[in-house]
Amino acid sequence: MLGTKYVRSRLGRAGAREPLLNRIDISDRTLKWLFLLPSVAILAFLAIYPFIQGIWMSFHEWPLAADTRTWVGLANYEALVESDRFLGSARATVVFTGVSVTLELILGIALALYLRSLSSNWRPIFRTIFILPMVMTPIATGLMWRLLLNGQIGVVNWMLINFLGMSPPSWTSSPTVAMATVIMIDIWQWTPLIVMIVYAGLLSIPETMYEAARVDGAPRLAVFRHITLPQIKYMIGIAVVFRLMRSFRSFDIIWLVTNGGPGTATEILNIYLYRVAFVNLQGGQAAALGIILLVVTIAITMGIIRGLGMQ
Amino acid sequence: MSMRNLPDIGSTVTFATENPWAALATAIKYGAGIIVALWMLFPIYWMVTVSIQPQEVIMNWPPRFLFFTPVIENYVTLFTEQNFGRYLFNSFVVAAGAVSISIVIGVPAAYSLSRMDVYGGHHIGFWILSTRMIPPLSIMVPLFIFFSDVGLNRSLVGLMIVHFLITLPMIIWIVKGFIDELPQSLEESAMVDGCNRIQAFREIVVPLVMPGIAAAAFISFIFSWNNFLLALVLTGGGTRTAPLVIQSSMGYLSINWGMLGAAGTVTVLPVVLISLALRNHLVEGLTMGAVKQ
Repeated sequence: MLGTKYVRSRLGRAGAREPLLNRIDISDRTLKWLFLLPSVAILAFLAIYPFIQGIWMSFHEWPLAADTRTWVGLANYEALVESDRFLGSARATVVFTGVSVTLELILGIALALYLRSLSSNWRPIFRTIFILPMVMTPIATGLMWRLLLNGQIGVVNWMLINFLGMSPPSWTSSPTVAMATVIMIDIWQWTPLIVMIVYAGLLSIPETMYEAARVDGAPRLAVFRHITLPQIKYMIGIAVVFRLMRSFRSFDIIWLVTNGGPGTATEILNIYLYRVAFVNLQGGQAAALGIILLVVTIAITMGIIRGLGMQ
Repeated sequence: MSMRNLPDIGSTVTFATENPWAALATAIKYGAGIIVALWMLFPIYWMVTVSIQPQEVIMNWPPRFLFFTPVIENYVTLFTEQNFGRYLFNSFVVAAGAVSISIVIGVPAAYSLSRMDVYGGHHIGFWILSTRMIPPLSIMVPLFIFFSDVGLNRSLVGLMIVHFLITLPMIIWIVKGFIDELPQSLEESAMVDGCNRIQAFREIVVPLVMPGIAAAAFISFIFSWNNFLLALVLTGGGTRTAPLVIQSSMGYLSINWGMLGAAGTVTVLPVVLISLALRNHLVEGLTMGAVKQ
């Protein structure tokens, strides 16, 4: 279908115009770098320059509101490690990311298996439904849930009282419940991503493997453990990597729903960093925090990628 | 990979009528499915519903789920008094600008990484991927200072430049995946026929991976459109993007829920339309080509 004929027809069109670029003869050796250079330059400016500048800043007392900067060595890092607020936000990050990613993984695998078990009439409908939450603008997600959980007009509270006869929890005003609330919203938004990735993995399992198991009369759980799970292990790994990558940059939903509160109960590292930098205007300390966050994030994601042999 | 070829595992409808336990299992199965679907859809439905209810209905107990007279006053307020169109336009300019420039410079980069045997290309490719892992706030402090120094703070151009961090790695990786799958013989025969590398790239490769480029463009558009944090740091006043305006209108003491619902609805509408049109490429995009569907 696509062969010399196709190539000729396209070239015929090109020959008629002969744009300048086509007539200049650039060797492949130069061209491959020319093609790559603009992208690498932009990404270097956006990723490497701030990293180096961030390290430099983190050794200074660098108020964002004034022009003074004083070399303080490692004092910013020392102050952070000793500060309860930093440790608290690190703990909140571990809880938030750990609990939400774990629950999303369990739920996501279950729903992917569910999707696979549906008849071909229902499958596309459910697949479309699962797409919606994960593409929602996170700020809109936060807005939806604030509307749903609102103390006066929240429809979830109304349902709990009228259908279940429960007294509604204080969604955002008690520390533990607030953390559970933001985790619940995160699960709403991101479980579908895991469903989609794992489902793509499930589709690639050859049907003959299941037929063989059925002939042997293997119980369902054994089929899952010995056929399904080994086949989707790699996809689960990819799902974890991409989920963690996104989780480490969580900000929008928490910012909108609890604002890190009550107190500092849901103040994950990103929220704390934003406050240090753009509320307290402590540039040096914020830079130190940024470097810690960056190094830890890259180390964890790279570690998983290496472990999976994805690279 | 077509889903239609797969037999239905576990859908035992004929069986179910004969065996009460199987009938119960089927009922539970579809019941659970409906609950999950409601859980996914209800928050979205509720936001849209509230956007077409007058404030009195929203504030009244019990909430009205289905039967009420829809009004458009919230949308009218949103676009006239709040001037939301302007902020949607800001979002659009930033996303469309970042995406189109990323395509112009990212597609050649993808080609180079895929085909041209760059020294250390594997590492460069992986480094490009790793820039997507960076938590944006960790680099925003130095960038904020730099942008303030050069006067790009509070400008859409500045925000657009930072959005390359979202769009560029994504476009390079997705398009690279598409080029990797293209048979190399096509370009080779073109080059035997006397065209040079640039011609082969422009006239053979680009048209053939156009569907991939379009998918990559729309997916990265969604991510740029949805972004809140970069705009929070870098914009203000008239250069705010739509998510930022939603956030700042929530701070007031008495929240105009109907209008906010309308703002949320118009903000997610383009994203929903794009992702439904792209649903077969979406996961590929979200995982930067690591998962093929």
